[in-house]
Amino acid sequence: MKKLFKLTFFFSFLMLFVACGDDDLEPTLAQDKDLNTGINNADDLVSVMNSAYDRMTPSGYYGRNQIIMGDVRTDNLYSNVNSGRFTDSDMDYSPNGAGPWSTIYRAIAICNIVIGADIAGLEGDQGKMSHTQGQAHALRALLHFDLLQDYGQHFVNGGGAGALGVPYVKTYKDPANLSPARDTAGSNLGDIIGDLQTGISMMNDAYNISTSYMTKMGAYAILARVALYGGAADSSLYATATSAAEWVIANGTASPASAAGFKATYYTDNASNSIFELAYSGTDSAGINGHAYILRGTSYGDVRILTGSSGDDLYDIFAADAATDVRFTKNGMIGTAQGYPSILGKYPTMDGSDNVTIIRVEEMHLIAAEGHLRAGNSSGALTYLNNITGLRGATAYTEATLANILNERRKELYCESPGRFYDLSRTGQDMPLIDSIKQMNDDKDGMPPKFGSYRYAYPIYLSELNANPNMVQNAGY
Amino acid sequence: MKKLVKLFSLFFMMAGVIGFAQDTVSGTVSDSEGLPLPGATVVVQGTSIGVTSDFDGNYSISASQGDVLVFSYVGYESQTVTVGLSSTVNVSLTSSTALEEVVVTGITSRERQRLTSNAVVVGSELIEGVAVTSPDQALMGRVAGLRIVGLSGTPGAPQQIRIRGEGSISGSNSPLFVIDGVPVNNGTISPLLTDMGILSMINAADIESITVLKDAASLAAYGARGSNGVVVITTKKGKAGKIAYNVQSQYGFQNYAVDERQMLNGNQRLLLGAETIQNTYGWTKERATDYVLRAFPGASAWDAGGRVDGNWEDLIRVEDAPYQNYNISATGGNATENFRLGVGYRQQTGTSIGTDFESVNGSIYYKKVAGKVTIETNNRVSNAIQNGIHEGTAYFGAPQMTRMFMSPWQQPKNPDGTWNLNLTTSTFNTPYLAEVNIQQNDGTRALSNSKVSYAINDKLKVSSRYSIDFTLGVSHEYRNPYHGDAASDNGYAYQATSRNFLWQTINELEYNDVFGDNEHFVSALIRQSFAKNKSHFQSSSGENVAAAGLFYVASFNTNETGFGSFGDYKELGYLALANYSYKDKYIVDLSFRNDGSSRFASGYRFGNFYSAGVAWNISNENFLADSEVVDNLKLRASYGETGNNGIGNNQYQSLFGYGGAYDNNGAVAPVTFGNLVISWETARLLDVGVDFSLFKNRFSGALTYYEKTTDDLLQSVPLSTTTGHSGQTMNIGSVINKGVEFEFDAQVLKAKDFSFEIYGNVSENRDEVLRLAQDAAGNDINLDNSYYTTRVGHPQAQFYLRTWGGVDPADGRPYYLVGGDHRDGPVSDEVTYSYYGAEQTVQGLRLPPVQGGLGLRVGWKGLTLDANMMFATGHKVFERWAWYTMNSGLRSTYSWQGDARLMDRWQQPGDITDVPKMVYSSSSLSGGSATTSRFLYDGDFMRLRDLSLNYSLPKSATDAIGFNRIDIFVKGLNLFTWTKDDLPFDPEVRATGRFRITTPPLKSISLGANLNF
Repeated sequence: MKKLFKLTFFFSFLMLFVACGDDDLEPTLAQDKDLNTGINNADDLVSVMNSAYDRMTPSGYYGRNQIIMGDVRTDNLYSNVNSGRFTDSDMDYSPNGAGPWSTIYRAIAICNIVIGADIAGLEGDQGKMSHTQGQAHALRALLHFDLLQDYGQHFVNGGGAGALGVPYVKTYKDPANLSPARDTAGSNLGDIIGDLQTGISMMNDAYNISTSYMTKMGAYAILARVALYGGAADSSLYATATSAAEWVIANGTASPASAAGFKATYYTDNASNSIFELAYSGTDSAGINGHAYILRGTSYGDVRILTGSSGDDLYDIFAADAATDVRFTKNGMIGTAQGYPSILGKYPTMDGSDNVTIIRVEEMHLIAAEGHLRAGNSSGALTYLNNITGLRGATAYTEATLANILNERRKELYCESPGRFYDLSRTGQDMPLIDSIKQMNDDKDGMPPKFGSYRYAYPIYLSELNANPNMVQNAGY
Repeated sequence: MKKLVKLFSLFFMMAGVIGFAQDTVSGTVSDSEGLPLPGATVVVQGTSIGVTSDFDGNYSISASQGDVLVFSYVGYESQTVTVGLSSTVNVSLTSSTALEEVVVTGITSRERQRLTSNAVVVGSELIEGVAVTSPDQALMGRVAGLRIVGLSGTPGAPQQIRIRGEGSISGSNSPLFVIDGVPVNNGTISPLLTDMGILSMINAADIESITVLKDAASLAAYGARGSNGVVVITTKKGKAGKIAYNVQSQYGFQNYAVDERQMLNGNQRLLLGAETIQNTYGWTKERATDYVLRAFPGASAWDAGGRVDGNWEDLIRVEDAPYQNYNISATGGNATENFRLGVGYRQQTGTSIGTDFESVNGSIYYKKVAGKVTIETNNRVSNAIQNGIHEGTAYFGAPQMTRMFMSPWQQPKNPDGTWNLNLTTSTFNTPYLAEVNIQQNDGTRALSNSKVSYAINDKLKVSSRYSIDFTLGVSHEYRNPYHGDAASDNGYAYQATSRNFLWQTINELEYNDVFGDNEHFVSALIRQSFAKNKSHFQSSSGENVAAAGLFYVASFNTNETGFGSFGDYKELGYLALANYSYKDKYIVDLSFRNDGSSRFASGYRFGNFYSAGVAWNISNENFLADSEVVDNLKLRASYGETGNNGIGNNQYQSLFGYGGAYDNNGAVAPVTFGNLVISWETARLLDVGVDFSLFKNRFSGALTYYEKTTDDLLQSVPLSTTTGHSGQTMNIGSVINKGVEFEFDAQVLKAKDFSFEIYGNVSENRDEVLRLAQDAAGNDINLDNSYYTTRVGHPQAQFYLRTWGGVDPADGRPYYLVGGDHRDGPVSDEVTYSYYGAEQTVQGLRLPPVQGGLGLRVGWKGLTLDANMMFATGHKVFERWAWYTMNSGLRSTYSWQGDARLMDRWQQPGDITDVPKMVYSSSSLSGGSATTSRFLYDGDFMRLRDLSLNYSLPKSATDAIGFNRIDIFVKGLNLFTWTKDDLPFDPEVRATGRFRITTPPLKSISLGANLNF
């Protein structure tokens, strides 16, 4: 008996000693898959592409900050710092960095994985995969355009097209391009337009799902926007803006919202006027970190409509049509919450589950108006301009001037992408003073920053400068 | 061969039996006071004949004249008696207080004089009643070079431990925990905002001792996981003898240790609020006051209500929160078969409203020696329930946040006594939330540890150990639909289950031998260990509840989410140890370990770690043998390597993660940049020291110098974020920690009834970064951020803040010094009024370079007083959140709440103060409260960590009522704290050096009794 015990004991002991090796240490990949074997077919490619959209949704980007920062630095909104948020509305950014830099590059990385896939070697519908890659090109263009607007030096100290832009990243994990240098703003614009044109040529409407995804129409619309903004650096682009906008108006599926239907577009996903939007649902909403909470939350609620006596605030520009304009108080779009003048109709659902519109067809009419005006065709411009007023219960303009077009853009697109800040900067304007007590961007010098100030661009993050020897900081930081 | 040996020994035994007249010797084994020692072992030396004494201490053994009997008993010195003419041999054994201490390293148990390392052992008497929240708390101030900080005063919260500083920049710096020879998990159950440390589920009353291993000779045996030090916990075992019962009970009260932060009262807030307008817009005081009362949130209601301040502080703090602890254990058996049973119950009410902790546990130890086979099993199970709160940062729902951020103009209750849920401020009514919301962690932990060993002969032993460490954590959160975080979602419920299962097997062959005339002691050991850890996690949540009184996810049917995940790791190790001692004068230790971990790629999984140690017991040399002064003097040195694999699982792989979703479709994205060539972080340890004991052991101690160089740091090397990744895990960089440790114990007075002893330790640790990752152009990638800087030639992550200049007496504006360490050119002392005009500047260390403990123990008859003071010096602590509470602007008077120190603000030209003038601005820059050295304090502190007064009833009294021993004690924790700077928060902060919003550390006082019968 004892011997048996001994034998068994030794035997099992020995077995254990020899039984373990390198292979026994292979970890389980439970939730993840190896990168090199992760994309096998058209559906895999679509799933990866979904991440590019998903990475645009955080509150650091289109989930909140991109849109709020587009207006909170201007005469539209201000931050009362109720919860300590949007102190960057003072435009006195920490030299350690500001803005959505890494968030945007994270989305670009996904586009590059999709673009870099060798679709000929994958299973499934080649047309669908080509369409997906086309989406990636168009999205990559939009993402770089947002980077260029936030970090480019083209408006700082008289920069122009030759000033520093951002690194245009076209590859994922390319060992030769892990520390890219900044391209010029002009080069960025060229790459953005090139990517949009590539995207347009690769996408096919047969594969469209909804406006929550990039489409050929979306790429044209972004091209129109890019060309309009790029016109400040290269005026030949205005013609591109006009033609792209008119392509969308003529060939796109989106149509401007009626006066009656206007308010509903803000709580309707993929509304009729939508060209491209980001999908949010109750389960993947930004919640308290979304737009609704910052605009009218009982806690948070930092960002409110800037009112004051020094210049024209939102109440002032709507005053003439106050009784009729569906974008104002009468239609519940603007009103009082917690005692503050607040944005009520945009991002209406408190849990942040409303889709966030990035571009819609009304903007195309206003771009076309401006394009025609800049080409000297003021009657064509007036038609497009009054296409909007006519649908909003606003008095028609008698003349298409740049001031009128910018005023209508402000009325139509306040607190929406692309943001009033970028209209002010591309037209060479100073930040307006409305109320020195409320607004924060006058605290530093007594007046808000003037056009050309280094404060028109965010500083690049210190971590980026530390990790990338080829990176150059923006002026003034 | 073995059979042959056995046969021979049998033959010799037979020969012995036949060759000599056999008699029976009998007698009694007792202790020095004449009490019988049941279960004592009596062996005829040189034979396998052995018996144990019965319950009355009587024994009877076959032995002949001339045989040598060896009497032994646990805790007593063995005695040998040569059998003479008499057949009765009575012995009395003396208690082995003078016995050579045995140090348990988790792998071996060895007499201290044969160690080449210096391990600190903390015994059970210092653990019981002191370790209130979890057993590791008992180490505070007791071990040189060890820093331990409670992460929160919420009951059940975990501790953060650092041994000899931090060696790793981005890997783990937490030590390994070993219980009864097996590494265990040390983490938290923390899907909620309060963490529950799983070590809190180990009953402190079950612990015999805790040993802290710090040096190469002892750590190298732990190979890949030894780098950060090892905490070895040894639990109580069975004791031979009549069944002995132990009953412990303790009852006490707890309060915040020092955090008595004063905030502005309503009138002060009104005064300062008005000043913001007076100073900025030149209004009169009356007009400004009137404006504040009209326009600032809550002011008009407060004014109309007779200016009664909301009593938030009273509602949030639980004064004299009770604490109770009861343990019962029984031990018994004999030398060949014994057991211990224990049960315990602990209940602790938290000092923050809504927190408490309750734990029940049971343990069983059983040992059986059957010939050459010894089986031993040690099992414990506990369940702990922690009711927690939001804490850690400025959660609106955190009671401790309310203490600092709630306006006194807001009322917690309506005039009719109901809760006021219509606050005109962002922060919530947290006393209400504490009453109605649920935030509960319910953890069950089972540890099973069984060992079977077989003595092939008296030199060679083989053993096999199997252990299981199982943790089941169930968490539940309910947020009510009426007020707070979930009001807009109409209620929220969350449930999570985490299950972690770790099983390990350790197989071992151990050899011990003595050659010559007790001259050469040799011991060697080879072992294989394999560990496999599996963890499962599942959670679900939902919103929108139909009715009150429903708390679980099943009733929350909107926006339901579900999540499930699985993770595993495996570790395989081989170890060889050898120890040689020549006449206990010269000792050599060698170890070699080969370890494999699944956290690295195939081909990089295995690492080799070795160590060598030498020691010289000078006091055993002839020239010191007769010394009156030196009792023990030992020089020791060791050198070796250990590893650290403290990174996440699967980091080496380039992976797609499938966790995302877009538009309700799956979204796939790369989660790691990947690096196939990552492997162990390696630490090279060098220890040199001297142990001494002088004047008949009246003064003893140890002095150690060490260097620990950590190479191939597992570091997340920053990548240009244009890659879409923030970093890549690489083996790069190097850090050195150097230090000196001194421990001593002095018996100043030792008379018949009176003794007076002083003990203590002090250590110094300094670190320096030797190498960092470099970018493509060959420049160091400095790890700087808005608080810290890590650069070559400097300590890791020093405070790196703009330098506060002060307040200009002329106009009350804050100013800064341009400063600028790390820049080309000299540091500038120029003054600037622009925050961004100042450069971030090195401001000091976040971990104390010097720390220690100093204690005294006084005994008089049955009374013992033990007091232990801990201290730390040379570091800085930062007051986070001061950018709100110390803002000379609207953050402190309009949005949130101000600290009472704001009353010292600048008011008129000529005022000399450090608080800027009040301005009508929400900016931390204009209000002077942006992150600068203004809120950085000297962290130096001294704290009476524990104080215990114990009275042991005289033996005559206990005998009369049938008890063996009765102790009555009073224990106090953190009763007294001294800080160098006037800190607005508790000086014990985690390794980041920054204040966090949690329940403050506690002081407590308790009364208890310990009965043995």
